[in-house]
Amino acid sequence: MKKLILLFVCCLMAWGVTVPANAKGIIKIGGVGPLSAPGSFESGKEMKMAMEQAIEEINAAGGVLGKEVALVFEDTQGLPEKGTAAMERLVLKHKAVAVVGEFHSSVAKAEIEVANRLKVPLIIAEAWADVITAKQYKYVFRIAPANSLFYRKIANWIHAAGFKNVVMITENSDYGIGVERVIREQLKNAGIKMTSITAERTIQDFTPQLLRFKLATPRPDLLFGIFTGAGELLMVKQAHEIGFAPTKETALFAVGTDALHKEFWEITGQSGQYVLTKTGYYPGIKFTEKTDPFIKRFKEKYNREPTFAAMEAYEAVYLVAHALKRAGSTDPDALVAALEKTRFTGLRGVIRFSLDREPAYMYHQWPGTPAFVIQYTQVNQPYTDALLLWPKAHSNGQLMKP
Amino acid sequence: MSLEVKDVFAGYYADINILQGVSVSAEKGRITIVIGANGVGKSTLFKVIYGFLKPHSGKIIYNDEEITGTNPYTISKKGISYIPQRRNIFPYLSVEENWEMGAWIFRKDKKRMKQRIKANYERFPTLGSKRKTDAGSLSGGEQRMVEIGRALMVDPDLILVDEPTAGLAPVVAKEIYSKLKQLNRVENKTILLVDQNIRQAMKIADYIYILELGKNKTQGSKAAFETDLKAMIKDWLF
Amino acid sequence: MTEYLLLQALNGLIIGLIYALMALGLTLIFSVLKIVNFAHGELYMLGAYFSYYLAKLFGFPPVLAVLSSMIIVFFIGVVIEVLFLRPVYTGAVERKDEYAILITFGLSIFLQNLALFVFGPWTRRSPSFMSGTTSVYSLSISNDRLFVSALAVVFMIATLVIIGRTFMGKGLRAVSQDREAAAIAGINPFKMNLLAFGAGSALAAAGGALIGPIFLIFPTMGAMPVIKSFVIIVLGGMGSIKGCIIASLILGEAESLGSVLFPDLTRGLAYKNAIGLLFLVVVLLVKPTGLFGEKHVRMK
Repeated sequence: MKKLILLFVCCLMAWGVTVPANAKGIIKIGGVGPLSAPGSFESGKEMKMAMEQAIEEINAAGGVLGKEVALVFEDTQGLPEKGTAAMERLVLKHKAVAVVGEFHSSVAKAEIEVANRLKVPLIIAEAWADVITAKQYKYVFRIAPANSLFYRKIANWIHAAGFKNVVMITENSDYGIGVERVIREQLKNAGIKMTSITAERTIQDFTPQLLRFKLATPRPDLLFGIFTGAGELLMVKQAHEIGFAPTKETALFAVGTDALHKEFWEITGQSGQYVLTKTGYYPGIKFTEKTDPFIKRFKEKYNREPTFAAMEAYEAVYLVAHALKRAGSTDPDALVAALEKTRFTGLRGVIRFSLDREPAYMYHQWPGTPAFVIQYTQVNQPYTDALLLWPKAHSNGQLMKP
Repeated sequence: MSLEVKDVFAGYYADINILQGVSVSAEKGRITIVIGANGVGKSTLFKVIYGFLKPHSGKIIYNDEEITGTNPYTISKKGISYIPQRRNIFPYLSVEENWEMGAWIFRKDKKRMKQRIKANYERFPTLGSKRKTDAGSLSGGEQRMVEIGRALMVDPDLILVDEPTAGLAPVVAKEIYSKLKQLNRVENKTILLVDQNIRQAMKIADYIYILELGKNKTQGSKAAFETDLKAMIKDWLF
Repeated sequence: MTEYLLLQALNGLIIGLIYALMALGLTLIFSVLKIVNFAHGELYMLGAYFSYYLAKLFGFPPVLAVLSSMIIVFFIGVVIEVLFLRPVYTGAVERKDEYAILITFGLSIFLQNLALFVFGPWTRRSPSFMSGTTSVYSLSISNDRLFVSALAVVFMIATLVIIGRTFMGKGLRAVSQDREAAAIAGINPFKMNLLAFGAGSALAAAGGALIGPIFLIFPTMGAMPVIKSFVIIVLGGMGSIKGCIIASLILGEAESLGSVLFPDLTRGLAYKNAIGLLFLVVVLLVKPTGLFGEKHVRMK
């Protein structure tokens, strides 16, 4: 009897393991992103939510190539080696036809190597390091901006807004160092004085350095924080606590995506008012007819405002589905050819991939990715209501000081 | 009859018995000593009595109640104290705090605790000036006294003493033996003593057991042994 | 500049006090149970979350939320001890030290991921104990930091009094100094293990709950502080309570002043965590048992 039960259990397990892999009616799309430490799991989670929403919609509309699509998401933990393993599992074990996602540049750098080796299309949704597209791999695409592409626009704003003495605090990650380099070069060219310091990602107390900046003469007029996760929020809070920024004398620009999450206000409270940040999306500007419905559904489903990381993740899934339809098969080379010819109306414009090889990071990169500088003018303001300062063409107000 | 150890087999591993059927009894009001060569299982015997080691077979009976395998921390409630061979004072507690710990089982009764501590200072007047000193910084003999004092806190009827003078200077050793004798004669404590220091131990003993290779070799009252002690020791032990 | 260094020293003191709470808990557990609790940072994290939710969902006043959270985590500690650490003392496991390391390490990873699952990945912040800032000349310091350090001092003194003066505390020290002798004296070592692990957990929880409004709450928040606590107990000398507190304050100051006096100002923050470790290495080279430690781990 015991043996019989054991046999039965074994059969059940074997069935459970093999059925999805053998199912003929499913096309699998791989998802990658951080869902646990030391990664920025809050952003990874948001991206996963958006991907799931896209998958649901695509299936509701009848799937692709007569089949259902399914998302297989792997947690990459912000660790390059986990990214490599995740990619290999997705492609070799789950037979994913393409992979989308990733938030950390350092992990994306590992993942593109696997994509190139295993010949599977990979659309990077939210990792910004130039090198990701600058390697010019055939199978690698990106809808997130490249650091140089995006931060050149932000640096232009710093210059145009008339700041003379900028201090930067940067997390020592691929992302932080990459952004810092772009801004530093641009500011140097514009002749703006600048001090830059780096810190561990896990640092919790910025007070010593912030105090030092506050006491410096001349006092800096802009604190530019290149941090993600809790570090960014702590920096904002502590800069305010010691009366350094945002103040009449010193403005505060927090670059990380966490400044757009609703938790930003719970944590910073009063300190968040007048903080500047960047976004790849701003409402009120008529991007496409898909923008508002997406946001409405996302809010209904998850009860939170999507950031552009969510939008990119959502778009990336659609880009794969779109390319699959046009390619008419799941063959990777056919998919790449289809992706290269993409003209897809996304949430923030018509997405296409550049084939330019100069500058290097432009290859397979969406050049149109928008960049906005916004400022919170009130406590508890959703970022969609914040003041839009840049680009000038869309701006709806002037930089505000306390 | 106060304590009876009946036919105990015990050891640290399942299949190796260090004690191979040892039987010892400590009669009320007497000093009973157990002697034997090194490694004969004398300390093991005490570990079994005090519950640190479960015997593979055999019984421990105290005042007609079987206590085989009782936890060490509940045995003191039955009126038995144990002074192991190795140093076991609390080195970073003061002399007085060490004694307070000996009163753990009646810690709510502060009055009784005070009385018992006072009695200890009377027994060991030299410790009177060191009540606040960390026990770890006392001399070896003083540490032994602290241990004996701690064992006396519960006012036990029976005290198990394991080689009380190992490593102590002869003068100090003599003092310890006289203290033990005093406890027996004046305070009427039953004492079961395991020792290597045969000459000194014999002086205070009423009844003697000799173990050999985990078994009882012989036993008898002191009078029986006193006649040709020297020869017997030579014969049995060396 | 003097004013700045003074304020920086004050900041270091505050950080040091928080370190001390957590390290005290670790010392307590280490010296009584003789095991290194790798899940200590997660108890700190749980303390922060419980305090946060008690305040947010049930409207507890902040200080009451901290105290309640300590009580909850005390009992979580008790459950952990009974379920996972008891086998070390009943002889059910052969390799006691290795078992304890693996089980607490596994517990740490489990609790982190459980928190990620239950509380979500978003960063939280407990309500302020006292909002606003206090200004000293042109420099200001948040009231939360002042309040938190005052509370930390209160908890610390309470711990010292309990361990140093009460009968229970002496019993804990007795078990730590000689388990066997304590058992002979009638002290139940299993109960003391429970008490030590519970109290150590509650102290970690206090650290986390107090830091909640200052350094934010997230599932991995305990990872760094637990490393700091290890540094502290080794630096102070394992088992020494005095050493633990002094080492906490030294580490707080070393980090705080070290990162601003670092020769290359732009790298000061980047080497902040390294400064404490460097200090540890130097101390251990000179005195391998730490500042106040001895060869054997006994609580004193």
